[in-house]
Amino acid sequence: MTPGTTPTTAAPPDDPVRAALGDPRTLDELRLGARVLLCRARPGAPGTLLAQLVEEIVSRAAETALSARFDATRGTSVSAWLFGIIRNIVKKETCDRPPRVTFPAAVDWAKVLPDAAPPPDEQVEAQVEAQRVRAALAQLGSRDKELLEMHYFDGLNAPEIGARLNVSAATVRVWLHRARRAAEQILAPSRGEDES
Amino acid sequence: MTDRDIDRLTAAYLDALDRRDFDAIDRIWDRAATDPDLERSLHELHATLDVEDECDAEQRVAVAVTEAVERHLPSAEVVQPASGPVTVADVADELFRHTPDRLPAEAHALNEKLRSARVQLPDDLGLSKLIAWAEAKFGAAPPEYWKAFRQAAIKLELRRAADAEYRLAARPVPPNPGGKS
Repeated sequence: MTPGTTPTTAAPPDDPVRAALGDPRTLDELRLGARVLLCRARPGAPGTLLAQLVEEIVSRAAETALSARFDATRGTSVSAWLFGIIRNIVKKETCDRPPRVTFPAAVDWAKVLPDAAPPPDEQVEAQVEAQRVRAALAQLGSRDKELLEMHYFDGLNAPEIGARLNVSAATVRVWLHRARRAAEQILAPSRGEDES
Repeated sequence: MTDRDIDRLTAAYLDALDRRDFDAIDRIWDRAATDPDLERSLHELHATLDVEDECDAEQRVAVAVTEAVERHLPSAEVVQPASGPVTVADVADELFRHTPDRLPAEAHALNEKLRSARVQLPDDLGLSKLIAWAEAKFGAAPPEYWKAFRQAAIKLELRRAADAEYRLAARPVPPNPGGKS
């Protein structure tokens, strides 16, 4: 031990934070999450810079986590808590880039879902939204059209669509997101997004 | 939490990521902190997005390199890795880049039209059968054009088959746990 330093208190053997930080799978999840946030906060940043930033952020998050206190009695997940620290660091690192100012979505997708069961006064509105989406489907590419039909009109959820298409539910969710964006572009082509 | 609930929350999460809306991102992660299914779904979403981001980054680099080559080395040809069956457009592109001598003007006009024809070539590339097939689909052209078209088509078929064989031979070999080769 270096002279003059205070000996650190030994961590209890069941310290969940140390256990999580020692688990390669948790660390990979944290790295992936940090990279996804950074890619969006700094679009177009070179891959080498991103990789460097990710390692730096994960290492700072680990240091912060080890010096902070995780309250295991609240029933929260350690990896979600660790990812909260990552988010805070990314937020601070990218505070020069404020949130993108966007127009409200051209479609209220929640209303289009078949199991949305809106109150009677909103049912007409929901039908109108569904008709608008159906009109846009004709102009979409075949994959986007198929996905939106399965999800919004046949009532299938992402795991069910994934089983049909032989892809993961996460892939279906990302594809659905892109399909919704494409449909919104058709329904409100004049609405741009202010890239700030 | 049902799969439908997770669909809704992940959709909101993807929107929030697009908007760089950290407050919305935090709200969804607050729920995920006490819901293992949602947390797992968000991590899976990150993994999928990361693969997409990497593909986007590779495409951006490829576009930048192609643009730089086309700007600074105008006589160079950017050879894109080809995949899938050879199409009429591929052959017409090849003829556009390596045009045979003495082709009449109408052959050039037809070739330009064919550069957008994403139709797979017929299996039989015999000259008479190829001419009959192509003229029924795209209209008449001088015989010397179809001869040049056939030669270019055979060259591309051979090149693509060789590329496929090379990729097959160069594929990474999975480790052999038994240690036998």
